[in-house]
Amino acid sequence: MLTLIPIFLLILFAVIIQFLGRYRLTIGSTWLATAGSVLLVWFYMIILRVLMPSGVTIENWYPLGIGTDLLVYQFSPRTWVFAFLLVSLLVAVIFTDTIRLNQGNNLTTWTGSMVLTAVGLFSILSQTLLAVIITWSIIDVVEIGILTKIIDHKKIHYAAVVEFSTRVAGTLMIISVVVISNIHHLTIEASAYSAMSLSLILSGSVLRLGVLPMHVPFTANLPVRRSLGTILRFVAPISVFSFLSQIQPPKTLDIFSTIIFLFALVAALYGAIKWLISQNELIGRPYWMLAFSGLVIITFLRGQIESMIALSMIMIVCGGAVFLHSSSSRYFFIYVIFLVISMAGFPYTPVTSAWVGLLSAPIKALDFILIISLCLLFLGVIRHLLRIQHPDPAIERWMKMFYAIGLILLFIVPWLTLIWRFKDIRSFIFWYGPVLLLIMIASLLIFRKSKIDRKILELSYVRKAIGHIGFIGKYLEIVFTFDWLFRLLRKIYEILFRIMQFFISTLEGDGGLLWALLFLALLASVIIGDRIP
Amino acid sequence: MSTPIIFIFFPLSISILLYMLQKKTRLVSLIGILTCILIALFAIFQDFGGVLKIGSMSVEIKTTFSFLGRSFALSNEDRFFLSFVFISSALWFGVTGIVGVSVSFIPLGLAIISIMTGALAVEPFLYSAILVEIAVIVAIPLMIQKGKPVGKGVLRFLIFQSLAMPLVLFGGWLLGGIQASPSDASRLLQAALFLGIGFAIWLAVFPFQSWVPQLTTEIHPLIAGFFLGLFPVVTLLIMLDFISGLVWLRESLFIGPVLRLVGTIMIVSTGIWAAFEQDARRLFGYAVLLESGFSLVLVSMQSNINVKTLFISFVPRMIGLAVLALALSVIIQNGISPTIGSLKGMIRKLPFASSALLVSLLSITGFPLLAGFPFRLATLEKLGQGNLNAAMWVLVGITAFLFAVIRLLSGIASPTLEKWQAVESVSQMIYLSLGILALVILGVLPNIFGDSIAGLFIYLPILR
Repeated sequence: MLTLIPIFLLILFAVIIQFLGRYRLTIGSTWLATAGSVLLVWFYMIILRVLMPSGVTIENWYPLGIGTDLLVYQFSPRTWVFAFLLVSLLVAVIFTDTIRLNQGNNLTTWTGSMVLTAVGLFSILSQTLLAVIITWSIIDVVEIGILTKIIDHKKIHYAAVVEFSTRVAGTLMIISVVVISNIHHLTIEASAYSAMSLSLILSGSVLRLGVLPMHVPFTANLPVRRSLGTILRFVAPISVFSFLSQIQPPKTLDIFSTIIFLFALVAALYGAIKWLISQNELIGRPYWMLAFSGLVIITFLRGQIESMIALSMIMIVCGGAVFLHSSSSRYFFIYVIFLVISMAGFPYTPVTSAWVGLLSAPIKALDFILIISLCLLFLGVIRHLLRIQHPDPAIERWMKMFYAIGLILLFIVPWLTLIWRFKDIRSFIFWYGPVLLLIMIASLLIFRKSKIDRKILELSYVRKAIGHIGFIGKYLEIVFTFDWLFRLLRKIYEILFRIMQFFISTLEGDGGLLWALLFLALLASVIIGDRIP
Repeated sequence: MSTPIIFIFFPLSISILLYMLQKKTRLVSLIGILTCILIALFAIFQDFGGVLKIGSMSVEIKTTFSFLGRSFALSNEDRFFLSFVFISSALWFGVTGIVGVSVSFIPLGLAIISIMTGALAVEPFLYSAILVEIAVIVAIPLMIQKGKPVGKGVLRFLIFQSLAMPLVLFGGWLLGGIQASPSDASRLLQAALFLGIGFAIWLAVFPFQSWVPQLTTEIHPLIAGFFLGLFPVVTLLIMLDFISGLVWLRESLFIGPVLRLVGTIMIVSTGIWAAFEQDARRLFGYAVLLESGFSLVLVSMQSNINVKTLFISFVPRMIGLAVLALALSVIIQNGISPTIGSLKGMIRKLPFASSALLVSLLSITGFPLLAGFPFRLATLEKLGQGNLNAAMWVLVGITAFLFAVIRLLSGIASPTLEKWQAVESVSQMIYLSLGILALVILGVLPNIFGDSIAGLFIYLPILR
């Protein structure tokens, strides 16, 4: 039961804060109560890792024993990392929100973030397929509920419905795994999933992550504050990453896995490019998620679970820092430098294991695409973090202090996890990966700073080439946004709709009874010929 | 005193009395609901065949009763059905007032329940065909609206049900003749074929399903929900009794595969029809068909656990259909045609009815977190163990139906210029919220009643 306490606490605190904030406390006191609550949960997460209590198992979930599936909710050393990262992100959200207090909707933002985090934790705790199905559905329902309430633009609504549909399709894939594999026990104990089950798990994951068919929601335009939006966007991918970290990866890649690998590769590169060139971090946010989803799928297919965890860490820590940053200061570039170096994956640092999934031995051409993708993602982080954000002059000192603490906390969290993960990652020594990454980042930055890039860009043949690349890029973007697929599916649906209407009107028309008898005769001939001995 | 008197003749006489008291609306509702609750409580707590003690008085509760030379029998095996039917009827009757259904619904509804219970109880079973036909005829006045011509769906419903009757009677008669020489395989097959087609028409199995969506479009959703919630369940139980009573049939090699194939076709075809549907009332009809398809699949597996699953699944089925009917009734009462086009942005105007509509349809589909999910998953798992292909096809059917619900969701949740408000009445809001809550609670905690209801499932029909 100890395992579920953070979830209960978050929901309980959210209800209390909602009540107190509405009727009793001032906004400052409400924030203090919120910050205290989430900090308490954050400390409790550390205690949980020390104690690592046994989880909750519900054996007789079905009425009168009509089914045998178990519900198990517990932390494993791997999933705890995801849970801790998510709670840390929540703390950072609440702390950095001090400088956004004047934007209104504070209560909804904070309590909404707490409930979403609780839902995310519940999903991370899921250790059986049934538990995963249930918690994924909770995430989907909560998210579509929130989006329905706040969306007032048809295009965004359409994107939200597409996203909900693909996620539900992903959950259906996991339901089919339950049906075909008959796995009722812990997912991590299922040492050998059949090729079919693994394919379905992979399909379910890529559908939920938006990797295939590739789609990005229009969340930049959502009328929610960046803090709630950040939690909203992070919960679903983290739940998938946590689930995948419990699954034994495939030992060899079959055709289906290879196709998924290629799509993930495209998603990683495409997402990274779009992230770098996006107008601001909020517009780029879905591409950041897409790129990391691609990278995580690749590392999973390469069988490198530790690498998956490290990449998730980069996604949450760097992403969190970028999305929550909304006020610049003179010394901010120091934070950025430390953050990038810390997350570059040098040996004995928290994310060193990221490279084991990105670089194969011997190194292949494909690996360079992954390094380039990661490099572009980091460049985007630097670009978006160093963009001058105009601070609100009304911000008080204490607000700035907590804002800074929130961002610093994000930086510290991966190092805290190292206390328990060090023995697992100390064998991963990759110097050339992070060095290469930093050299590439530094070169590109120097290029940009010294304005050499502009001189090169002014060369006529370069301009011509860029024109061609831009032209190709425009079409590639049309291909990779997969809008054409959804449009094609709609067209097919419309054609089938007409055919179905014809059948329906035939069956329900005046001669419907005769048609029914004809169908019966046809059906009977099939049954008698095929089934009856 | 005997169970047929308590469960058939007593409610039938009450219904006649209520029919005469129709002008006193509240009294009719009150008596109707109380009668159903009392009878349901009796079914839950009283051992049939035992002794009922009221103070110092003891009354023996017999399980059989003879009437016009025919025997009616209701034993412990039927207790779950009886409690289920009368509780659900109490709920149906309870909401009549809030959605403007004619008060004649209560006496006629009670009469239909009594006659259907009689159909289940009568022996020899072939007479159940006549009783079902009588129930259908009694239902017709409920389906006709004053001043409007009789719709195609109502007519077709009457035609199909009337077609089923001679087929079942003839099949039953053939079977009666064979009892003397059960080795006559060709006659047995003929009898099974006639009865099979008769049951298929009763259950609206593909290709005899066309009347269901037509009927749900033409009549009041609450009446459609009541009738379609009850009728397929009774005919299914008659079929179960029939299969259970004939050893040669339940042990034959073809019954399982045929029922599985028919059930699977029903689920897949219903899912596909639904995926191209624009009208939520017709989706209601397809939801009933989807439920019937799942019931057939469960029967096809011919094991005690699956029969138990079937019986317990009647509860989420009934709640799902009731919430769906109520939501549709509220929407129609507000002058809105429940088509996807007209329902655009409806969540802002009728948030409770819209949510209830979506939640009930999702529950019937088997969406996680909702009441239908545990039963759908358990069915799929067991089906997958025996026949993976069939399980995959059923999953395809569910996916298609889910697509239909998501299309509806997309329309209902579509942003409009309208502000958020709730135009439902307070009683409608309460009933709809309770319905949604019940579906969610049964979905998250399906074993909420634990073993306390196990007693109702001790005596189930044996299918193998």
